Amino acid sequence: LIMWPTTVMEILFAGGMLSLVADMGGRFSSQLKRYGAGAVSALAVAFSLGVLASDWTKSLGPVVSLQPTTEPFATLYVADKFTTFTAFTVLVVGLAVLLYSVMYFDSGRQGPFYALFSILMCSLVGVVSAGDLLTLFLFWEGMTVSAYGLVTFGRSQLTMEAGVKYFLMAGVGSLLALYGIAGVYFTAGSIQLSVVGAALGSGFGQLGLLVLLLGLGVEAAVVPLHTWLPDVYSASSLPTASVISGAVTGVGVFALLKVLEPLVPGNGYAAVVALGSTSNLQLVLVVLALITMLVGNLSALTQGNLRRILSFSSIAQTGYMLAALSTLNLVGVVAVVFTIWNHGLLKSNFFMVLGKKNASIEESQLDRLRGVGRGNRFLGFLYASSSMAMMGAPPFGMFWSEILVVQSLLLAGQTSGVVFYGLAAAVVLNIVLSIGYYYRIINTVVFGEEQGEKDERPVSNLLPSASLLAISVLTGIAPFLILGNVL
Amino acid sequence: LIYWAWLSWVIPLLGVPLVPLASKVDSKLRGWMAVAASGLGLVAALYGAMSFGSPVTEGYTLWFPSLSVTLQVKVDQLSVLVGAFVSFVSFLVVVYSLGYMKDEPGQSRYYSLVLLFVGSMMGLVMAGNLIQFYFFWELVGVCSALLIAFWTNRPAARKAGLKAFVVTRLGDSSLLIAVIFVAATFGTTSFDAILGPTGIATLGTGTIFAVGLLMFMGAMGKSAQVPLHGWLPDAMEGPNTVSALIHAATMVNAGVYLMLRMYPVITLPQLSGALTNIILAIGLLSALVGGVCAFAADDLKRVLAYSTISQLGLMFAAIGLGSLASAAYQMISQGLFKALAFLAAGSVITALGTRSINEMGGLARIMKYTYGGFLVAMLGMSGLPPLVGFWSKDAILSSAFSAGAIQSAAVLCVFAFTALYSFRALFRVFHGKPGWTKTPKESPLTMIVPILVLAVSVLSAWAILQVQPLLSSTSWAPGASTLGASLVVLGLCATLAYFVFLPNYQKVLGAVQASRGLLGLRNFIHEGLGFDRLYVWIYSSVLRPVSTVIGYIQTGLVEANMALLLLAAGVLFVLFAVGVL
Repeated sequence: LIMWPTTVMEILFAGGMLSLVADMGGRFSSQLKRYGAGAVSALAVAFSLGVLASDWTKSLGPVVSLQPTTEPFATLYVADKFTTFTAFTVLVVGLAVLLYSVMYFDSGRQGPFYALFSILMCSLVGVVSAGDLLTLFLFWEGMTVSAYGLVTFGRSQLTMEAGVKYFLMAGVGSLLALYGIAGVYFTAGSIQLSVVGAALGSGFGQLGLLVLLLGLGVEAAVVPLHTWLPDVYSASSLPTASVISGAVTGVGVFALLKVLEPLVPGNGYAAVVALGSTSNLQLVLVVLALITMLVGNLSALTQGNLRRILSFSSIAQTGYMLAALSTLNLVGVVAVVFTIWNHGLLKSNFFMVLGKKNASIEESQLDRLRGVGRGNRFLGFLYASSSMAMMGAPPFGMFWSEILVVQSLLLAGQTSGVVFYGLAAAVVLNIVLSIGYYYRIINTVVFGEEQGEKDERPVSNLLPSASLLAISVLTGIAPFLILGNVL
Repeated sequence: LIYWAWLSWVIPLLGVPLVPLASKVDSKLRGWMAVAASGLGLVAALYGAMSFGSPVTEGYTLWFPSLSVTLQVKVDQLSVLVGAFVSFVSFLVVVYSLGYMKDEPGQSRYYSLVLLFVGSMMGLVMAGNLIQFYFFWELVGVCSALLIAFWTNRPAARKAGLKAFVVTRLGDSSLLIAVIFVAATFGTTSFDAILGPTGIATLGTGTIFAVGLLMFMGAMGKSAQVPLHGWLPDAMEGPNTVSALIHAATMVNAGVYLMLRMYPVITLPQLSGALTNIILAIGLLSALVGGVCAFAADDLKRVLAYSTISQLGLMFAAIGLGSLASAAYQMISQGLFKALAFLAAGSVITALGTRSINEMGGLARIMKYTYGGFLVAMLGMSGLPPLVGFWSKDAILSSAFSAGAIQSAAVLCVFAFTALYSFRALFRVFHGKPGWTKTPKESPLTMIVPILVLAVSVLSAWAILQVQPLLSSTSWAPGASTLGASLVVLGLCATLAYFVFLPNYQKVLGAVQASRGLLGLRNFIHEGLGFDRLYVWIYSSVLRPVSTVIGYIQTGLVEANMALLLLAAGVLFVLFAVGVL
C-alpha cells in the first residue's frame, strides 16, 4: 500500500506544531530563537521528501486509490505519477523557500510564520493527492486560510488590503466550488474524482463541473478571477510571494487538472464519457486559456514594478497550462504537470532573487533595481538566467514545457478540431510577446547603468535560488530524467 | 560511436563553465581556455571532414521521451562541410578576440558566451533531428542577443539585443509549430525519417506547403530576410568579433542550413514549385533591399551587415532556383569573406575609434595588412575570379539564366549592387582623403594573423571546397555567358564606384546635398527603407494601447472583482438556462 500522502501530511503537520514549540524555546537560547522554528520546518519538509522518495517507484504506476482508516487524515487519496510528481514539486519549492526564509527573517517572532508555512505545505500535499471532491475541498480551504495568514504576516496596510482581497476572492471561489461539487454529486451520485466524468452526461452535471472549475480557477488565477494575484504577489513578504507563486498557483492549476483528468483517455481512470469531437467544455477552456495568457502578457508589458511583472507572467503561464488542459489528452496532462514543475522552480527562484531583507514593494521598482546586477555579478547572473529561463530559452526546463504544451495542442488539432491549431499559434506568439518584459528585466536590472542602489547580499543568501535554477538547468539538459522516468 | 561528431560540439560546451573558473587562476587564462576549447573542436571537425566516408546518423540516448527524441548526430556531406567551416571560423575569431578584447571588462562573460555559441552552433549543424536542431537554434539566438548587448553601457547595444531576440523569436515561433507538428504527426523528427519517402512527403499537399512555409519563416528570422531583417544592422552594436562570427559567418547561415536540410521537402514535385518560388522571391527581394541599404550606409559595420542580408538573400534565391550546391557553396564563401571583412573592419575601427566611414580614408599605406585583408574580402564579395565568392555566384547566375529573364535581371542587379557597395567601402575607408586626425597604428599580431589566414582562404579555398563530397558532383566550370555578364557588371560598377567615390566625391556629395529629392531618398535608405518604422508602429499602435486598456481593467477594487466573479457564475447559469450548455 502506498502511504506517502498521509505520512507526508502527518510529518508536515507535526513539523508545523513543533516549529511553534521551537519558537517558544527561543526564550532560552538566541540561536534557537533565530533558527529554531525555521530549522524544524525545513527538517520536516526534507523528511517528507525522503518519505516521498522511498515510495517513489511504487507511486508511478496507474492510479492507486487508498483509504487508510486507522490514520489521521483518513480519507480517499489518489497516488499516481502526476500527483506524486506534483507533491514532489511542492516539497522541493517549499524546502528552498524555507531555507531562504531562515535568512530573510532575522528578527521578531517567526514561529507562526513557519507553522503556517508547514500547514500550507500539508494542505498543498492534501489537495494534490485528494481522491474525492470533499477531501479536495477541505484541504483547499486549509490552503486558502494558511496562505491568507502568510500573506498578512507582515501586517502593514498594504498586506492587509491584499490579504482581504485574496480572502474574499478565494472565499467566493470556495463557495462556487462547493456549489459545483453539489452539482456534480447530484448527477454523478458520488464525489470520487474518478467518476466526475459521469457528471458530463447531463446538463446539470456539466454546469456543476463548470462552476467547480470556476471556483478552483480563482486560486489558479484564471482571468477574470486573477485580480487578487498581482496585489498578493507584490504586497506580501518575499518568502510568501515565493511559495505562493511557486507552489500555490501551480497546485491551483493542478486541482483543475484533477477534476478534468478523469475525462482524459488513457490516464488510468476508466473514462466514463467519451467526448469525441470538441465539446463545449473544451471550448470554454480554450477561450479562458486565450484570455488568460493575453491578459497576463499584455498587462506585464506595461508594468514598472518587477513584482507585478512576475505576477502577470504567472497569469500568462496559467494561460499556457490551461491551454494544454483544454486538449484533454495525455500529452496535455504531462505538459501541465511539467509546467507546474518548471514554473514553480523558476518563479519561486525569481522572487528569492528579488529579495533584499524586508524589501518593500517600492524596492522592486525596475527603476530602483536598475544596474543592481552590475554591482553584484552573481546576482546579475541569476537575474539574467532567470529571465532567460522564464522566456523558455534553452538550456532551462521551461523550454521543454513549451514544446509539450504546443505538442498537446497540435495533437488535439489533429483529432479534435482546428480551434486547437489556432490556440497553438496563440501560445507561441504569446511567448514572443513575453520576451518584451522578461528581456526588459535583463536590460534594466543587469545591463542598466548603476543608480547607486546596492545589493550586497552574501552569496549564501542566493544559494536557495541558485540551486532551484540549477535544477531547472538539469531539467533542460536532461529532460529524460523526469519525462521518461516519471511522467 | 563516431567520436568526432560528438566531440566537435561537446568540447566547446564543456568549456563554458571552465572559463569563469579559469579566471580564478589567472585572468589571461580565460581567453586561452576558449582558444583551447574551440581549437579542440576544430581538430575534431576537421578530422571528421577528412575521414568522411558515407552518411550515417547515430543516436546516443533517449533525450526527450515525450516526442521520442534521441540525442542524435547526423554525419553527411552537408554537416561535415558546414561543421568544418563553422569551427574553422570560430577558432580564428576566438584567436582574434585575444587581441581585440584585451582590455575589455567582462571577459568571463564574453568567452563563456562565445564558447556556448560555438558549441550550440556546432550542435545545430550536427543535429540529427528537428527537436535537437531547434534546441540549439534557440540557444544560438540567446547567445547572439546577449553578445550583441555585450557593451552594456551603450543603450543602443541593449536595445539591439532585445530587438534581435524578439524579431528572431518571432520567426522561431513558426518554426516551433512546424517542428512539433512534424513530431506529433510522425512520432519522430529524425531527419532520416521525415525526409525519406515515408516522411513528410506522404502528407497532403496543403499540409506540406504549410510546414515548409512555417519553416521558411523561421529561417527568415534567423537569416535576416525581409521583412524580419531589421535586427541585423542594429546587431552591429556588438563587438566586432561577435559580428564576424555570429552575424556574418555562422548563425545567420542557420536559416539557409535549415532550408538545405529540408531541401527534399521544399522541392517535392506535388508542390509544383510553390515554396521554391516564395523562397526565390523573398531571397531576391532581401538581396536587393540589402544591396541598396549597404550602398547608402555610412557606418562601416552597417554596410557589412546589409551586405550580409543581401548575400543571404542570394543563398535563398539559389535554393529557390533549385541549386542546392551553389547555395551551400555561397554560404561558405560568404562566411569566409564576410568574416574576413569584419575582422579587417574591426582592426580599422579599433585603430580609429569610430565606425563612420566619413572619418576614415587613406588608410591603405598605414595599415597594410588590414588593407590587404579588406581588399581580398571586397574582391571576393564582388565575385572576382578565381576568389572563393566567384564560383557560387557564377553557378547562381547560370541557374537564373535558365530560369528566366526576370530572375536573371534581378540576380545581375544584386551583383551590381554588391560590386558598388564593396568598392565604395574599399575606396572610402582605405583610399581618398583621410577623415581622421590622429594617425592610427596597425593592429597587434593576434588580430593580424587571423586576418591573413582568412585572406589566404578566401583566395584559395575554392581549390579545397570544390572537391568536397557535397560540391564535387556539380561542375563549377564557368560558362562563357555567365562569366562575361558578371565580369562586365563587375567592371562597370567598379569603375563607376571609382569615379564617384575617389576623384569626384566632393562634387557628387555636393550634388546630392543640393537636391531635395536625392537627399530625401538618401535619408530614406539610411533609415533602412522604413522597416524600423513598421516595427515601431506595430508596438506603439497595436500592442501598447491594448495593454493600456487591460491595465484599466485591473482596478484593484475588490468589489469590482467580486462582482466580476459572480457575474461569471451568473453567465454560466444563464447559458445553462437557455440550453447552450
